[in-house]
Amino acid sequence: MNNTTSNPVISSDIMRYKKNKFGANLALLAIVFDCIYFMVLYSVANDEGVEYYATWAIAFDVIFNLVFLLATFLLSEQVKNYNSKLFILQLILGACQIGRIFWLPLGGFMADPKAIDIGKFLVMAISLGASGGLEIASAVIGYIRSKQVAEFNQKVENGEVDIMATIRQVDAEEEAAKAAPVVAGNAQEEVQ
Amino acid sequence: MPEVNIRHLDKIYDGGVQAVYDFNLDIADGEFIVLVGPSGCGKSTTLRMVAGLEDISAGTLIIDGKDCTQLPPKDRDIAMVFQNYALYGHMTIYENMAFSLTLRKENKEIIHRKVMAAAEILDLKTQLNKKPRQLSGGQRQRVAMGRAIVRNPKVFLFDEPLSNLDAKLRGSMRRELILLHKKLNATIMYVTHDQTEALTLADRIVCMSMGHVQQIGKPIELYEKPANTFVATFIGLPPMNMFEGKIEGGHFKCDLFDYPLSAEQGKVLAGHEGKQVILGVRPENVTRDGHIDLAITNNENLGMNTLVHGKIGGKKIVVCKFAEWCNYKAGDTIQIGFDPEMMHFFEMPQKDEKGNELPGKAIR
Repeated sequence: MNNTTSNPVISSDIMRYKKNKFGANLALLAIVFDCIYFMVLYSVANDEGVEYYATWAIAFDVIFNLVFLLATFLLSEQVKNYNSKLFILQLILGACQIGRIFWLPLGGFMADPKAIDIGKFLVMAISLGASGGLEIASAVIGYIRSKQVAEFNQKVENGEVDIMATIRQVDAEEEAAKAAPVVAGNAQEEVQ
Repeated sequence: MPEVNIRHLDKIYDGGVQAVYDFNLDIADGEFIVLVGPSGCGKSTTLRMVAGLEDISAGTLIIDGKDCTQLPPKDRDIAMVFQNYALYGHMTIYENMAFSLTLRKENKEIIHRKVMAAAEILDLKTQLNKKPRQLSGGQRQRVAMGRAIVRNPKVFLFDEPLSNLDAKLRGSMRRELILLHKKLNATIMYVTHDQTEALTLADRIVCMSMGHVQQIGKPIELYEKPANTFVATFIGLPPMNMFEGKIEGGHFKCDLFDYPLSAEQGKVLAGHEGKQVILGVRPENVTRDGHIDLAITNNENLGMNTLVHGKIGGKKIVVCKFAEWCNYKAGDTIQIGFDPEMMHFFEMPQKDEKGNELPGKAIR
């Protein structure tokens, strides 16, 4: 891979043509961790003798999961396209995921430690924590990048930045840098 | 300097069918070479051999001093633009143009600079976030060219890139290609069956038929001094009128007319006295001051000129192109002659050892 010095104008301009895949992938990863959480939880809830989950709470959890999966998927598309309008919703969803650790997983672990051992509890807690954390990270990255793109677009519209001129300047500098050692070498030969 | 040297190139397919025979060509740096010929003449096969998409059965290919005969396509430093654009439908124009560099794991900023520079040359900057399906045929072809430009190859190969476009767009794309060639000063090999593209774009034309090179030369050379009857009839629209006859006593004699030859023509044809030859005259070199009766069958006014179709002796169909608006009617008779400077004489077609007919060579 070639290494060049990063130019702020060029790196901002790249964002206008490349989607925020990193931010969107974080949101999709949050979905994966949520799946791990509910697979463990629902397997436990089905076990014989586990009474704790046989309430309306499990129904609410199922509905929340469905909403989370759908909303996060749609929000990941928003993040991908540098749209920060639903940034708050994404933060709320992330916070809810972290908050859920203290509801069914911790509640079940406290109520019936034999049915939910420490291992299962930890898997659920880590999955929810990771899911929430990734959702928040996706929201924050999406927000920062969308603001950067919006500001850059504004600068381009106002004529404060000339992208092609910058590109030509960087190209010329690079050409000069390439030619410099050759010129220096020739000069040294002449001196000798 | 990227020069291309093609020596004794042959293409023989597994079944024994030979598509290209002994192709020789030296392409200078920055030269625009057009391979022209009818379908199946081997021009695309030759281009694909240069690209590395077809194995070279015999001969050598040297690009920029490096023997590329056996090199895989990726190591030849060439870029090819296809007739059907070959764009990735799920990618944006930017991603399509950047694709080859992304595969090479180039730095993102370098890729961006190259893509933006190519987009500016091709006037595609406002289309970069669109998908190929949102663009017109001409724009898609420009994207395909852009994808080639970003690679900064030694040689550009174009395989009938304008064939999918309508006539108007083809005209504008032709002009853009000429400008692009001037801007990039790139070495280009361009395949087409359209003689207009060949004549307008090429620095030199390679005219092919049945796998054989018929003539290599500047467009004007192929038009004014065709090497044989194939080139004479293939280049020029409408095609050249051909008459079979004999040279006898300073005249060209055929069963339709007897035409006196100039002193200069007599000298050139001195060795063919009494022999069968072919006289070729382009429609635009037919004059209305001769002695041959032409019975008009059709009059086509094209605005700046008129195509007049007629028969000589009720048999031979002749096309004339007059540089004015004419109003002849079917059944009218006019007297035609030929511009003596622009009469072409060819030997009769010969047969090779396999029985294939070879076009008659020009007599000069």
